[in-house]
Amino acid sequence: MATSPRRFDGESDDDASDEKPPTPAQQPAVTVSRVLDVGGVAMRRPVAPAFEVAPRPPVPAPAVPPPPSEAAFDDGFFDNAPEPIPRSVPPPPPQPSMTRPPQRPTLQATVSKSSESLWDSVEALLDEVDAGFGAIMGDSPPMTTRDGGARGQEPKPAVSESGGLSDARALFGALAASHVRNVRDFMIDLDTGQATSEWIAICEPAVRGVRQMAEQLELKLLVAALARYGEALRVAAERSAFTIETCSREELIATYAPLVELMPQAFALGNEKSAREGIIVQSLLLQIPDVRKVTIDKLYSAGLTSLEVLFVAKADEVQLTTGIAMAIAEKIVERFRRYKEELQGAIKDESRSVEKDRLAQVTADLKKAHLAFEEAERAESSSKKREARKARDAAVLEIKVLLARLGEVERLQKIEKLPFAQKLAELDTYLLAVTS
Amino acid sequence: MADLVKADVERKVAQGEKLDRADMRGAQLQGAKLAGASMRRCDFEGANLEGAVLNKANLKNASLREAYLAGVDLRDANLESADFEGANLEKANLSGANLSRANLEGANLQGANLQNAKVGHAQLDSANLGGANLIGADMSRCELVECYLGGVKANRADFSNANLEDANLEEGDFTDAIFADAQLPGVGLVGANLTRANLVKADLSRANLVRTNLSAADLRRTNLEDAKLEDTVLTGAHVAGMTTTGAKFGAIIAEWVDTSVEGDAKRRAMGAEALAAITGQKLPESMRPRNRRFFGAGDVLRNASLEFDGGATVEIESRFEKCTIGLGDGTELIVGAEGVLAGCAIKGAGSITIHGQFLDEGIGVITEPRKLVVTSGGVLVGTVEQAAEYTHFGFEPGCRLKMKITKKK
Repeated sequence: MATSPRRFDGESDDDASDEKPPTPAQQPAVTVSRVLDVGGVAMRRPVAPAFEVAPRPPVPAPAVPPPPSEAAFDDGFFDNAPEPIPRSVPPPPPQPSMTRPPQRPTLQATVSKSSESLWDSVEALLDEVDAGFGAIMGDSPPMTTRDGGARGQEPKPAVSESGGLSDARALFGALAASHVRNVRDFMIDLDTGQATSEWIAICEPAVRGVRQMAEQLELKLLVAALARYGEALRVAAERSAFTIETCSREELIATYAPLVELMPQAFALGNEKSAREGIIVQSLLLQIPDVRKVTIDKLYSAGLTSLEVLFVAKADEVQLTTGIAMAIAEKIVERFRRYKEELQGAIKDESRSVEKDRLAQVTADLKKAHLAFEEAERAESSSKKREARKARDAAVLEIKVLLARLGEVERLQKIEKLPFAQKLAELDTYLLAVTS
Repeated sequence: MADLVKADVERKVAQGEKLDRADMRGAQLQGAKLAGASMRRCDFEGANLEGAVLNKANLKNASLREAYLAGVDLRDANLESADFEGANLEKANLSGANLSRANLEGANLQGANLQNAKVGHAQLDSANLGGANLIGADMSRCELVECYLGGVKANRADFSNANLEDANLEEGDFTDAIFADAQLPGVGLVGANLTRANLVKADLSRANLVRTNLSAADLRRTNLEDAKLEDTVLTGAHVAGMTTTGAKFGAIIAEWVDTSVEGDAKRRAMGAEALAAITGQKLPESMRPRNRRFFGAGDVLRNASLEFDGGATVEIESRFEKCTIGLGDGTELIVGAEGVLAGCAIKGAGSITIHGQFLDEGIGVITEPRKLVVTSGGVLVGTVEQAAEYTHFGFEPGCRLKMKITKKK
């Protein structure tokens, strides 16, 4: 995940995320706006009126209301309900992990690089929320930060602040959604019975990272749910040699459900799963000679629409339920069996390098086929054009499967509407972005 | 012109401005309202016109290569000689459009509506027309090599002289379609419905005709060399001059076939004879009809008494009035579509098939038939007296009956 560069006075500062925050004495008056890069998607987050931050004298914090109850915090996580969270005062130090900045090195030691980025983003946002709150409270009042700066006056009912906190939570949700992308992939694979234990090594750090952040945000229900899911991952890793065994699968699904409930934008699989699966199933079917619309319609009418079902289907059952010829039913079963083997045989890593390498290879094949097509066109050879067209179509089908597996459904939909030359350019751009 | 945005183009069209020869390559015109626009020779290569409204537009000679046209409305548009190679026209509405001589090679027309479209002489090699509506479309002289036409509705469509080599027409509905003189070598017609289709002199060599319905299809002088026929329905097909050398036959359903050269159903072959007519093999001596009688249309026979031996085949296209007909054991009596038996009595353990009319007129009776079939166009008014062994009845939908069935006392 990319870091979250801050932009001061409209100037970008690529090293901002690595910088320590300036001390109050050093801090100049700044206009703040931010560009957050979340999983390759740049989000410009408009901050409520640009504001001036005056140097902050280190004044003891005023008395503040007690922190909200856990239930209130967790229940209203994604609502915009106002919650007066005392971000502007140093929180009581109940645990070492809750204290910052001394806790940072510990965190760095335990979480992956990507979770560090997540941390940076949320931390930066919290700074901003505090500053923004101060700006809203007065024209140019003396302000403080959550690092302990003084406020010039007692905060009014913390509508803005809670809005800022909602923003922080929303941001956390967005960041977490990108952060646990591999976890969703794993759960989609698990749901279709094709997940291997290699996934666990990829998922555990991601879950741990999000959990640590949730702890910082005092999202205790989420923390507990993540802990249970993390434990299920650990147990699954111990129990499962290669494929995730049934008992662990059920446990993982059961412990994942509360996460979907608590943080749907990060953990929900519904639309993503069906969109990806639909593309994969159809593309795999169209790779089989003699399988075209009529056969696909029959399969879908018989409810053979998911990988889970097609992985376990037997040829005679397919023939019986759909009425398609036995020879075609056998080819279908064989294709899905092979795909399952391909999935299980592929080495899993966090960056999905196997799929990306394969995508690069198939994109090269597509280029070759497209060149052959253009050549055949120049030579006015209908038969060569037909052959090249078939080769192009075959490559496109494989690309569809790979992009869907990588969760790039939107990109795929965009690519589908482009002419071949632009399809290739778009794929090149994507490959460049994901490999650099 | 390539820089024109959707609103500009819509405005110009609304003002009646002609956009002929405009450069619209890669234009983003999704959902644009361009009905009736004049865009002859426009270049829309790679443009996105998803869901655009272009009905009655004039796009003659325009280039829409690799354009994205899913769901576009091109009803009654003039697309003559337009270039749609590699375009996506999924679910496009092209009903009534003029696509003659258009290039649609490799285009995706899945689920498109081409009802009554004029597509004559168009290039559709490797195009995907799965599930498209081609009812009444003129596809004559089209190039449809390796084209996919699975599940299409193409009733009454005209494919005469078209080239459909290695095309896939699985489960398409081609009822009353015309394939006269069409090239269909290697075509896949699995489960397709070609009822009453005209396939005169069509080349269906190497065709896959498994589960194809060719009822009443005109297959005269059709080439079926090396074709595969299994569970193929050929009842009522016109098969004179059909070539089937090297064809592979599985189960064939053919109650009768027409062997007349004119294709007027005046020479009907049934049972083994029908199979022999289809397969082109000579019947063994034992299976050849020994007694065959044919009463042609236009003749009238009154008050006659006729006796036919067992095993004979009798076909009546004439008008019989108050005649008595005796059938031997297993005699086949066929009342042809033109045949009328008025006030006649038929007696004996024969098999009777009525395509024409059997009218009571107060005395009409059929006694002790072994089998009685009235086909869809047949009329039976009278009494049927069953034998001690029950008669096998068969009544096709559409037949007209006013009958009393009694049992022999």
